[in-house]
Amino acid sequence: MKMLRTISSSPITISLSILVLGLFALTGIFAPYLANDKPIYLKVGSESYWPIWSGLKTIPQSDGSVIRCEYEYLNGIEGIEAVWPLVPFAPGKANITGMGYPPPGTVTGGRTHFLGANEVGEDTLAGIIHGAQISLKVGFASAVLLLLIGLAFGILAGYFGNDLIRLNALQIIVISCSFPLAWFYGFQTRQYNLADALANHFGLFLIELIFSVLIFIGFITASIYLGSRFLVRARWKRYALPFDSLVGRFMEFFSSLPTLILLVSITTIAKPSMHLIILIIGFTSWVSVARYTRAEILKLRHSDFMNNCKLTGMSHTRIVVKHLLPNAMGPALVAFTFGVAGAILAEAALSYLGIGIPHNVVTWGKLLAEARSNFDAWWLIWTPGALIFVVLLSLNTLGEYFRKRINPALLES
Amino acid sequence: MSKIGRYLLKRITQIFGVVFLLSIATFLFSVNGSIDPVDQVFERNAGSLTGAVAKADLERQKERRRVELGMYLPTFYVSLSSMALSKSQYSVHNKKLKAWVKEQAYQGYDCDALVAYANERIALLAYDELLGNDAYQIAAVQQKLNNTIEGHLTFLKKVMNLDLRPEIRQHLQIGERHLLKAIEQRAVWKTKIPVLRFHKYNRYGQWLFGSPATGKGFIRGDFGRSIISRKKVSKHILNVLPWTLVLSALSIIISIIGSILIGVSTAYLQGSAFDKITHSVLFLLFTVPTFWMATLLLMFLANPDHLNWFPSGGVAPLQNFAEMPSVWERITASSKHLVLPLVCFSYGGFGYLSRLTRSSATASLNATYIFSARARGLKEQSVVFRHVLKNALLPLVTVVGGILPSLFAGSLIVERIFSIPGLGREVFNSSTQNDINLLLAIVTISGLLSAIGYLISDILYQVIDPRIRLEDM
Repeated sequence: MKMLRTISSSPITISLSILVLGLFALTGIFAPYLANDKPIYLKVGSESYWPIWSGLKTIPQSDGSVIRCEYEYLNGIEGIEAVWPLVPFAPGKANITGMGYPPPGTVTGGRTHFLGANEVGEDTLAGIIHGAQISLKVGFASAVLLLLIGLAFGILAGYFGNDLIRLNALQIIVISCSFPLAWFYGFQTRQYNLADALANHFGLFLIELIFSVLIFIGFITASIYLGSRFLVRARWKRYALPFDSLVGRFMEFFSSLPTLILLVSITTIAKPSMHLIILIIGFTSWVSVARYTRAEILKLRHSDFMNNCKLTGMSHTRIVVKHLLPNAMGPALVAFTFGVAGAILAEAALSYLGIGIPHNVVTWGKLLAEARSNFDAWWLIWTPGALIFVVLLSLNTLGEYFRKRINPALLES
Repeated sequence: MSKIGRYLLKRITQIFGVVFLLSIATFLFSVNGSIDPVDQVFERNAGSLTGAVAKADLERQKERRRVELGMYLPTFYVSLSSMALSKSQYSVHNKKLKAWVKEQAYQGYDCDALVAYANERIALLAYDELLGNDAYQIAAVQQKLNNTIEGHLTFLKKVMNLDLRPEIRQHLQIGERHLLKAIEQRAVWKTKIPVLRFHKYNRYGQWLFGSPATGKGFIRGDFGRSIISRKKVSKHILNVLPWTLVLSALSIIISIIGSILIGVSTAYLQGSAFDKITHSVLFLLFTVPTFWMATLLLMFLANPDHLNWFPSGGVAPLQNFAEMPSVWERITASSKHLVLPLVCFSYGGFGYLSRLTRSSATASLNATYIFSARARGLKEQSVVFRHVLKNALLPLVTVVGGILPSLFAGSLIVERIFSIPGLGREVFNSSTQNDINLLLAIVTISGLLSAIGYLISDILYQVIDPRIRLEDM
């Protein structure tokens, strides 16, 4: 009976969850090397190639023919040394020899479907390994995004409060005018550059986007600098900026959003893309991080060390970065763990319903959805479903554990 | 004004704020989305059409519909754009040409002249007599069109070399004059100057306050008509709302009753094997994704090869349902269909609420007033029901308001899997076709409902626990 200690806090379950999450992360990171129909290492004649690493597709030969770096092609050629990944299948690639739901263990063309395949012969295990990558990316990236947004708003509300910053009307006008200007010069005038870059190459788009964001931030920083340096002396009426109330209103707004409805409608109306899902999840679920951070900072606000910091004349930035953030990270960590779980769940649900993620990308949700047309394909039902479940369970267990360790009174909201 | 009155006023203003912000956000996403609802409407006809003339006719119909729907109006009351653009851009009633004009204007070409050129081209398109040879000749040249401004100039020159009727030629000549003027008056510096413009007539305003074409407006309770089916949006919603409401209400009731039973009993038997097993099972149950649970249930209980206990989808038997005379018969007929969706709907909330009830019941069982109640010699029953239960309900009340929106969201997945004609299915339909009026109605209604849910739970919280003052929240 001692084994039946509450499941969420026994040390075995904690180490198990960490193990599961570690495996999940490793699988996600090394997915291309674990399941691919390209060889990891290839030796043709005296030349050596690393096709997965270099993204090599074909090798031109001296007699004018080309060697395609694909299993089906290379397997028949003599005199080639190749090191294959554990699963020599690419995800979402139909296999003519293995059509019609081959069960686990079926061997087709020298390769084994360890976990079976679907109707058109797409290997399940390869799909699962690459699906782990998508889940990891979506979960981690949206959680980082919501953490950043939540911390920013939490600090804004908790540290700056309702009366810390007092500005005169001129400063307020200049700073608030800088936002539309920053938007105009950062994004509006550059919209065609951005659209062109997106149509051509994603890397190029990223550079253009970073450039736009830099312009945006530059304008706002410049206006704040201008305000704090030169416009302080203007003899206009001074107002306290009510950050706390504003952020409070903002949090109320975001917590009453019908998130899933928004997620579904926006990803359907816009073009399907993973980045959009990450952005929407990040932007709609930061509220709990902000709430925890704000509460934590409010507790510290009048502590002795904060008074010391102020007396020694530290700048706001230094106080926040060096003294407040490390203290506020605890509750944020809890929210981060639950945020990863929520994002993975949302992505899986969306791709189960067939929206959001582009059609050619294999995800766990999509694998599970394929099972609905054939319930005899038990491997398609049990493996992706159980994996989502186990990963979510580990994250929730870990989150609960953190919550109990950091602050037992912290209730989910 | 009394305290409660002031509090309610504040909260209701907030609710309206939420609804309007939500509607603006959805509106912007929908307007800038990549799906054009008018294209969706005409898609069915487009497949069967062949020939340039028939296609041109279809395009004309589409444009007429777009103008009818006010799709060429500015989006919002205020717009921030560059000085190079002018308000005349909204008079270009053609999707492709409008985008083209905007793109060229952002390169500094004179916007008004571009608009004039575009309108000449549109006039050409609208020429009903532009049939036969002329249309084919122009279309042949247009296929090789390079979409820059120079490309359009060469297009005009090539077309004018053709043997065309004089009235068409006249349009082309005027168009060329405007195009040359646009190039001549190019001013790149204008693109770098931001201008704030106000638009009295705009799409959001029409949706909000109504217009002769769109109805009385959202603010007077009119959601307008669906773009796709042209039926009233309120009719659509009233058709689909009952099933969602039935499912959510039943699942709330089930999960609350179940979680009180389980929560209080596990708290009472704290530390026993029953408590520990239940606690672990609930934790697992809470984590199972809805769609996996639904798939498993379908596989085991609605599978002809396995156990075929329940139907796999729908809300009622397809045959004879409408003819069933008594209400009772209808309920029994459709209850079989609702079992699996209801299970999927409720188990998550049940797991969560049970854990919550258990922890609060544990806290109150250990409280001193329970000790004193027992010391007074009260019966164990009355200790549990009168003292523990009442205090254990407290967190439930706050959470019920919070799970209202998540229930609507949950209905999205469950309704889709079990093909239930509810609000969730309508979200899918309206967003895959970008039916803006329907979508806005659904989003604002669900936002409103969830905001009201929070308000109700806050008020109930105060009613149950008088220690909490309204101002604290």
